[in-house]
Amino acid sequence: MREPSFEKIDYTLRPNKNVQRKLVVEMLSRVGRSPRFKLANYRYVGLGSIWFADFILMHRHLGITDLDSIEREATRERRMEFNRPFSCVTVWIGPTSDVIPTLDWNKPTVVWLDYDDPLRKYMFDDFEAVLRRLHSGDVLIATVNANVDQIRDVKEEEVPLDPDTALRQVCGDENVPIDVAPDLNPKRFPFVVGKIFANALVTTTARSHTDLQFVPLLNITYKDTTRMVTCGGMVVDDSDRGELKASGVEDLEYFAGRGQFEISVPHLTHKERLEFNKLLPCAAPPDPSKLPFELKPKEIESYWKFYLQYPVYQELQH
Amino acid sequence: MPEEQATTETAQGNPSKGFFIAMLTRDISLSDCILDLLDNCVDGINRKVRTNGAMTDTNNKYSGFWVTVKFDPNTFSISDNCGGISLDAAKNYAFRFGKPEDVIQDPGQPIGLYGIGMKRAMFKMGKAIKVVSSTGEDSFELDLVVDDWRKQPEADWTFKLSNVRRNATDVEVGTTISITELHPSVGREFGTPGFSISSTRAIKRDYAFILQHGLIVKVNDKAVHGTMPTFRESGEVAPLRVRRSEGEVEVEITGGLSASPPEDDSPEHRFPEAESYGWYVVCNDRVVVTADRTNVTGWGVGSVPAWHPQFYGFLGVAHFRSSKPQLLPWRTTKRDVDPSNELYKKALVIMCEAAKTFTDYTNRRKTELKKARGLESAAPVKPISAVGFSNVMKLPAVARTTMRRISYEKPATEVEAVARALRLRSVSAKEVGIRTFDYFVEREVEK
Repeated sequence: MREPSFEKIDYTLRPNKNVQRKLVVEMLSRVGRSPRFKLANYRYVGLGSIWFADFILMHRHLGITDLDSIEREATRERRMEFNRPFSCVTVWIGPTSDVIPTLDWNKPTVVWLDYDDPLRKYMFDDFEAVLRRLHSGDVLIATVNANVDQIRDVKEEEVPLDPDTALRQVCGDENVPIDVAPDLNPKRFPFVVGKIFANALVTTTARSHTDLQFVPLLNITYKDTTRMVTCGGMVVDDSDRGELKASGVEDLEYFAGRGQFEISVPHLTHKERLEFNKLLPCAAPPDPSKLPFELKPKEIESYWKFYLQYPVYQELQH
Repeated sequence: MPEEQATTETAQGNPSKGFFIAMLTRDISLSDCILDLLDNCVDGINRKVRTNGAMTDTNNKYSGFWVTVKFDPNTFSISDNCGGISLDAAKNYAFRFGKPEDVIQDPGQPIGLYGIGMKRAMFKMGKAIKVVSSTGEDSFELDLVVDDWRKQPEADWTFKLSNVRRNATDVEVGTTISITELHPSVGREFGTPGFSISSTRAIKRDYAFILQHGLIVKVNDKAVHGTMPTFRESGEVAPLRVRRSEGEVEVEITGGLSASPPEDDSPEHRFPEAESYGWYVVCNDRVVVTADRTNVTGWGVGSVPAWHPQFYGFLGVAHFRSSKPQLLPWRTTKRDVDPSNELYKKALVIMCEAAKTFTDYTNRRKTELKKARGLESAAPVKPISAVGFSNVMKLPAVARTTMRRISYEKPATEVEAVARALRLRSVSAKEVGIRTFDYFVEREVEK
């Protein structure tokens, strides 16, 4: 059944992406509870575009004062510069493959490659380029479009490829689980993407460093207009592995070790939000009958969990 | 004063265990180590089946037998019910390095039985090795601490067998090899998802013929299912498939189109499943050579061109079968073809002809690319067992025109602008080149 049009929100208002961003920052904050990982001393590398939403959060909530944004569109250079939110944000123009080798990697770093694209080979090249340069305590996160249509009806020079082959063509034979074909449908594909990324990140780290391993911390899926998956974790040596555990990050409900976590907050009107908030907080997600408007149980549960992170949009009277 | 007599003396020449281990384990990958160990299991099955005298149904001849492989960053183990190692074999040749000079070759045994596969895998992986084996009649254990073994006197290359039982044992039939104290790089590799996936894919491909006969192989508790080579077969497209025999060896050669060859053969372009194309040489169901593109299988020899990305999509299988394994064209390592084998030389002639037919076609088809691709992809994909016998490889008929390749570079922004002007759905530099050329020919060149 097609979604009614009022549930198709203006793409600039993406509450699920917004909540996801806050969870990522919350996770980093939890890691930062360990005296070993002083987040404020970290450098942040991301793909800010002209909105820099993640950059603003990193500076404001984690106190990071060294931020690098990579933008591949050369024609947007002035717009990027103009929109830099703070003096401590530097903009670099060029594809990630060109810029990554030129950055200084001798500082503790959080990298978030928030890609707009569906799965592409260059992403796996980027993982290798970054992981090779990371040190113990550094964090790498990646976000990708996980809509299953991207591997359906793929043609290699006008010859149709079967989805399993198309997926291996892009991600590499080593990263795609065996017998993945039954999972290549809209419901299961996000799990597959999460698994492929985790495989690539863990394998690449083990091959690039004799003393470091990749510990997955994030495996989140969400959808505003398009299904997305965010995977990430920390590169650690044996000593930092213990420090990471001691920070309590594994207690978080969305810790990757518990499986893929879905954020599915509903798109609520201002009035609906206020009404729902009257019931919160409460011990368990409210029964649908308690609300004077229809919401799916999944949406109720998600809002009950994340009502404090839910973005409030107000038009600025300028 | 009498002259000093010239005398003879002796110089030491015996190998050091350390050097030997280093050389033995040098050029083998962990994935191939696992395949070597699996080979030993299959040899065990064949031995057992022969001793029992039972003429089993050939389609399910490995049914009832299983192998379980497990690995993680700290341990490796392979366990099977494939007959076990007899005490006699254990004492006299299973743990020697290479085929002993004085062992009488049992004509029923495959070449290279108890060659170096097992020792190579063990030493490659770790420093503490335990082997438990039973044939139902005999059983024994071997506990090897490599560093202690190396400290034995130089001339002493023996291993101690313990818990030896003869003529009756309650230890279950089969063999288990467990390795701990893994070398750091090995342990790390075992822990990567990439290794787990790629080693399983190698088994799926190289053991496809064996798995289809009923052997159950599990890797970290997941059963492995073989992927058989496939060919496209229709009225217009069909592989060559012929059978020849000489004496007690039979060979079946199948070669042809498995997938449409690429248009983009540039180095950056990755053809789907590229590493699976080429020649497979199989001996009694064991894949000896995988996706070979070297002169061993005729590429670059005589009129057959050397392998080129343009030939991706070609698949060939040369399957040799015999009840006398020593007549088959494999070397003792079972991972190499013996090119001096007479039947192999004859098979090679057929293989080269097939390769040449295919490579010629990949050049010809460029004149009518769309038509060729259409016919190729319309042909259904069939596993090798379902392909019909044919003395000729069938490929789509295309017009014979001499073609010339035009290749040049232009600024990306200009190319994109031209693509937009041509109303192309996506920017294909190649399409831009072809369409602008055709545009000029149509308007400016007299026919």
